[in-house]
Order: sequence, then structure tokens, then C-alpha cells
Amino acid sequence: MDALASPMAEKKPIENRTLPDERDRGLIARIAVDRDMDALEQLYQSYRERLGPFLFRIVRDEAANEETFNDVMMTVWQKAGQYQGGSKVSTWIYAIAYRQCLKSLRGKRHEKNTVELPEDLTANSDGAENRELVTRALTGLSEDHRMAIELSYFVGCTYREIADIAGCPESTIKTRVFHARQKLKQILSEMGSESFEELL
Amino acid sequence: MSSKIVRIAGSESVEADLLVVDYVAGRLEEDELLRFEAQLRNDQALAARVATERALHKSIIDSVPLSQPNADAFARLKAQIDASESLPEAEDEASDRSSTSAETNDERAGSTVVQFPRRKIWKPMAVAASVAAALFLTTTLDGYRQPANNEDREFTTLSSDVTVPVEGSAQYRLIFVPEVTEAERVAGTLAMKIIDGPGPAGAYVVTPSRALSAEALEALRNDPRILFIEPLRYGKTQ
Repeated sequence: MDALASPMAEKKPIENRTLPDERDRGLIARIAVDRDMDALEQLYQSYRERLGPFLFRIVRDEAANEETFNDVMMTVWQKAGQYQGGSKVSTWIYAIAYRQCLKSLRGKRHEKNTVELPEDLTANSDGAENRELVTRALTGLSEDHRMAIELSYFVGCTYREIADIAGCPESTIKTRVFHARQKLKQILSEMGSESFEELL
Repeated sequence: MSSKIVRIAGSESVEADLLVVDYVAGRLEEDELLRFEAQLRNDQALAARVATERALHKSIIDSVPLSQPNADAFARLKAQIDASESLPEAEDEASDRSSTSAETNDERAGSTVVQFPRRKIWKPMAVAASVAAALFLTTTLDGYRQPANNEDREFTTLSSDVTVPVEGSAQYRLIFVPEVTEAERVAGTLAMKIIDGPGPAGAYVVTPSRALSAEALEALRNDPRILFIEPLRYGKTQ
């Protein structure tokens, strides 16, 4: 099983979302050894569908999303020779993306602090308002907590996979997800969320 | 595992909290799943937590619309790769390889690269070629000198419409006018550091020794010692 599949395929059973890691390894080898641009394009189009939406959640801007995605794939092109096969190709590529996202989030840190919360959000009974609340709450998390939540909830990674991507122990990731959820609860509470009152 | 499940309701422990998360995300192994659901059927508090977690899970996933780069974005990446690799690669190969063949097909770059064998006879020829190229560029490109427009801090290339943010890590291809003989010193006065060159056409690869201000860009555009300057990469550099 590999949870790093396209969120577009969310409704499919997880067993059907198995990534063709062998194919990806072959493409990486062609890029590293032959500098094969066709191989890069195949990898690019494949990850555009599964990594692109994840990056968009972080940068929240279509132009910046394309730029960040191209930065990731440029790094793949440049560093393909350094891929040693110890992890899945998808984990390696997500690790590159992870670092790009952290840079992006840290660059936007000042923006996060300027988000104005609505004064009265007690009438948040429908889904759209819940989503709006959660969107705002997510931007209130620290970069590490935000990334842990996005990788766990949106991409569907296991804690082990997130640990490999972030380059830290699995226990650290579990703690991050736990504390990120605590923080989310706190922020949602401050926003006056009633829909998540059982969480609070 | 069963003891972990018993502690779920009302518990704030990491393991218990994440067990609910993993259940909703469909990440529990089969035996864990069976035990969890057995408890879930008889535990109203746990059922409430699962329902809330489902709502949170859905809200997080739905909080941002799905969006991905356009399929044609690859063309821009390819252009970026070509721009970043073509000149340094050609110059590196020209100076580093000891092959005596005059021309090889460089499949990696998808272009033909002329290689200069390491014979002393080629050195004066290369110098002559660079002078000729510089003279040619002097007469043909002078009309395309960078317009003095520094309303924003972006540098438009001489040879294309590509713009780049002015970053300290950016790299540029630079050709001085033939009168310049002390390239390194002159580059220093332009707040540039030479990292490669001169190539066969007299081109240097330079990088700003610090992030360029609008004033520094303006000075570069109008400096009479510079014949030609353009970024090697556009967009963010690595």
C-alpha cells in the first residue's frame, strides 16, 4: 500500500492507489544516467496530478503552484543521480516538495499573522462555513504542524511515510499531528465553531 | 491494542487520539479495525469522537479546491533546464574534454556542441574567435541595449522577454566590450563575481556578489563596458 497517491483518487479503495514505484525507479534511472527528457516529462505529468494539488494547498496560488512544482521537478532533474533507492521514489520526491513547501510557508509567515478572524462565526452550521473555518485554522498552525496535517489528512500518508519525508522520527510526527489537532481545536474554539464542539 | 482502545473515550493521549484519526482515514490494520469497531458499537462517546473526526477530516480535505499545474507547464521547465545547462555545459566540455573530435552530438542537451581539442594551436584561435564575436556583437547588438526601465526590480534579458527576480544567487552570461582587459577587476566594480569563463565567444558566467538593487541594475544596463548580459536562468534559482 502506498498512501502517496493522487487525492483525486480519494474515493478509490486504497489498495487500488498503489503507485507504480518500479516504473518511477526506471524513469529516475533514465534521468540520472541518460539525462532523458522524455523520462522527466513522464514523471512530471504523473506527479502533476498527485503532487500538484498538495502543493496548491500550501501555496494557495495557481502561478506559485506551478513555479513551486517546477522547482521540485527541476531538483528531481538535477539530483536524480543522488537517489539511492532506499525509499520509494514518491517519498523522495515528496521530501523535495516538503522542503520547498517549508520555504514557501516560512516566506509567508508574516501573512499568516495578518489574517483577520471574523467577529461572529456562531452561525456556521453549513459545510461551506466549516471549510472556511478550517481553512483559516490551518493557516494558524506552525509550518511543521501544517505539513504534518496536510500529509496525513490530504495526501493520506502514514506516520512512517511522513517521517521519511520530513526526515525525523515517527514518534515526532505522531506528536506533531496530535499537537496540530489540539491547536486546530483551540483555534476553532476561538473562532466560535459549534460544528466541531465535540472536539473542543 | 485493546487496552489502547479502552482508553479512547475522553482520553487525550497521543496514541488514543491518533487511533481515531487512523480509523477515519482507513489506515488501521485488519485486526485493529475489528477491535476498534467492536468497541465503537458499544461506546457512545467514542462514536461521537469518530463522527466529529469524520467532519474534521472532510472539512480539511475540502477546505482547498483541487488545483494542479497545467499540462503545458512542462514546456517552461524544459526551457528552464535548457537555459541553465546549455552554455555552461558547452563551455565546460570545450575546456575539459581532451577529445580530438571537432564536433559531437550532445544528446543530453539535445543540441550539437562544438568541442575544442586541447592543442595550443586552438588557444589563439579561440581568442581570435572571441574577439571576432565581440566585435560582431558590438556592431549588431548595440541597438538592443537594455532599456533604462527600473520601475520594478526585475531584469529583462537582452535576448528574450524572460524576466527574473534579482537574487544574489542568480547567474548571468556577460560579455564585456573588447576594450576591457581586466575582466575580474571590472566585474568586481559591478558587484559581480566571475564563476566561469571566458568561453569561446568571450562570455563569462557571473553572479552578483549581493542582491542587486534597482540602482545597480540601472548601472548594469548603461555601463559602457558591458556589451551583453542576460540571465542564465529565469524564475527562482536553486
